[in-house]
Amino acid sequence: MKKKLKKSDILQSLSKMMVDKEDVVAYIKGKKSLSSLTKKGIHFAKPI
Amino acid sequence: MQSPYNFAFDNITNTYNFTTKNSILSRVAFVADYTFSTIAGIDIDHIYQIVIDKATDDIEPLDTRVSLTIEIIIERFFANIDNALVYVCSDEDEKAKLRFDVFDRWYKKSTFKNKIIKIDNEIKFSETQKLYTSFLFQKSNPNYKTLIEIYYNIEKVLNSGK
Repeated sequence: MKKKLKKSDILQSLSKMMVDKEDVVAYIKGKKSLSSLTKKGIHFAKPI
Repeated sequence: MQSPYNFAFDNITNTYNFTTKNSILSRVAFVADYTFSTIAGIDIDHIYQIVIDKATDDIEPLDTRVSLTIEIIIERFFANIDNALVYVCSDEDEKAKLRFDVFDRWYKKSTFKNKIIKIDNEIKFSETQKLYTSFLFQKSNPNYKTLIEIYYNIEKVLNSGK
């Protein structure tokens, strides 16, 4: 059964999105490794 | 007429890379996002956020070839018709609205606006807090109705007060 969604769930999800973005920017600038991103559950799209 | 920079997808970094005339390396990444899955309560794949940045802190003078190149990379990303892109403007330096407007102007000038739809949602969820968001998907995306419904549901839940 689908659980009732709470405002806090969405805020948490949006917050993770912003944190992921900051982590990827740090990765692009060479300040974080790909493996550290993978450990955090950050995944990238690959071209088809 | 200006041409885009040559770019390539790097399988090691998982980013699209290109180097500008000022020898500045830029990278574009599409990062899987699970906000839609959270909202829907089921797994929704192929939703990504885009992250664009330079590999160094060098200052790049305004270069229209950069936006042209990014435009083509985005078009390439949408070669997979299931892919969709959610863009939440960062409020760093309190410039979220400015970023939102720049992104909108860029989209309106893009060559792909006839096949890639952008919808916007300025989500006000408290007296002082507002999120500037956009959602892009292919016109032919088979799930677009569901995705739009989920996207608009974000605001509904945020304003539900629970």
